[in-house]
Amino acid sequence: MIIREKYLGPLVVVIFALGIILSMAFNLWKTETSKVPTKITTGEAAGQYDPADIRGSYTFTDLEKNFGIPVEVLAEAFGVDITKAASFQNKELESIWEEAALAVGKDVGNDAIKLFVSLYLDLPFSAKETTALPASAVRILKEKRPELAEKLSALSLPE
Amino acid sequence: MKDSIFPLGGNSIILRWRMAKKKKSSLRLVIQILFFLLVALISVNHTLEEAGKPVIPILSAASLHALCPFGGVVSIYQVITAGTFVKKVHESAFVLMGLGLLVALLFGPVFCGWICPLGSVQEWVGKLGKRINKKRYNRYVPKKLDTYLRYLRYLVLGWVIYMTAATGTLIFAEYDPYYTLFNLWTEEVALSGIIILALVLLLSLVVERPFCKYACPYGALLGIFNLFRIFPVKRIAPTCIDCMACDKVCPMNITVSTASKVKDHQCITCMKCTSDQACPVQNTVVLGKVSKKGGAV
Repeated sequence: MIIREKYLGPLVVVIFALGIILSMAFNLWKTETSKVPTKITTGEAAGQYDPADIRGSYTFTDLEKNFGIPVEVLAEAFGVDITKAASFQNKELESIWEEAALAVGKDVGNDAIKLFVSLYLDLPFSAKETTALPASAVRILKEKRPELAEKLSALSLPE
Repeated sequence: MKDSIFPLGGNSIILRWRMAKKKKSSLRLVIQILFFLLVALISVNHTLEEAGKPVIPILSAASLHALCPFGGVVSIYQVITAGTFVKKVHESAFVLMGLGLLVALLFGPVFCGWICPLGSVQEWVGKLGKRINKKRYNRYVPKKLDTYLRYLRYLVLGWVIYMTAATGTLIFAEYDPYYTLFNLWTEEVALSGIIILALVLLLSLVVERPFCKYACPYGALLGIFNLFRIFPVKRIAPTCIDCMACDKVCPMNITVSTASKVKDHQCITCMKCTSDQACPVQNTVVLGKVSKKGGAV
């Protein structure tokens, strides 16, 4: 069987198109995350959503749904305008805190959200050494987990 | 002697040769332009969506990572070991990976030759290079050095797979000229990506498809399928007139004129060497399953 050039291109396009249509029919075609993190499989927290799997594309609403932390608390902790907080994506955090964090050689981004969620809910998570939290986030955590006051102070950006 | 196998006699060879010189297919170019526009518009749509602005209707606003079959390849390790995708990679990339591999199993790296927008851009820049360099175009790199350099892309493939598995992030995005090309207007582009893209475009003026030849990890993977693909490019020796037209047009500098079956890992199934284009003799360089005498199998 010889395949002519005039048939090869259309054939390949058809294979890709059919494959995509079939995968859509079987609900396999997903171009964004389900916004549901994986669950912790070992230890005391087994069965709970894993803060380590929080993605930069998650909004504060996604965090509220998955971890039960109110959007208002997240907005206050990270200094996000409450009117925009519901659709605020974690990855946007860097643009707010970049200057203050860089001044002390730290980062406040998605990893800071993971750290905040893990400390707020007492879930296991190891943050990067450079990850810091805004002072407002540390204040909220100190109220909720006073036993961690010393550790939390070390994570705080200067006011 | 070979004239006898042509039903129209020896003179017809010259006639066919002249006709063959005019054989130019625009179908591949049309498909290349369509995929280039599709990817560019999807990427623009994604940027609009991220910015909370109205998007182009009907068209997907997915991220390029979601639509890159190579994203599926680099995610395999994490999917097997952790059951999750590498960050920014989604199920769609896995579907496209499967389709890309299926097509490669059938026809070889046809994805590279017909669909990949970065390959197309290099080819288009190369047209300018051909005008500037004339016959020297695509002949600058010494053959021996060129042969070794072409295995570099397997090192890139190994490095990308290892680093992605080790870090759980799309490490190659920072260096990927394809990702850079379609994100030039965003803040997601790394300086390293811009430098590599500029280098690739500059090199395209002297070498055809330099990134495909020397550095593309996905092309490296698809190239392996040239060794056992179901429909290979074949040269039917009894009807071949040894004019070497096939060699001259090959963008990947493959010597087709001495092979009975093109098994070179660099073939991109662009079809330029076949009797549908450069080869002046009907059914002599073909894509498909044919016997050594040229009969369809």
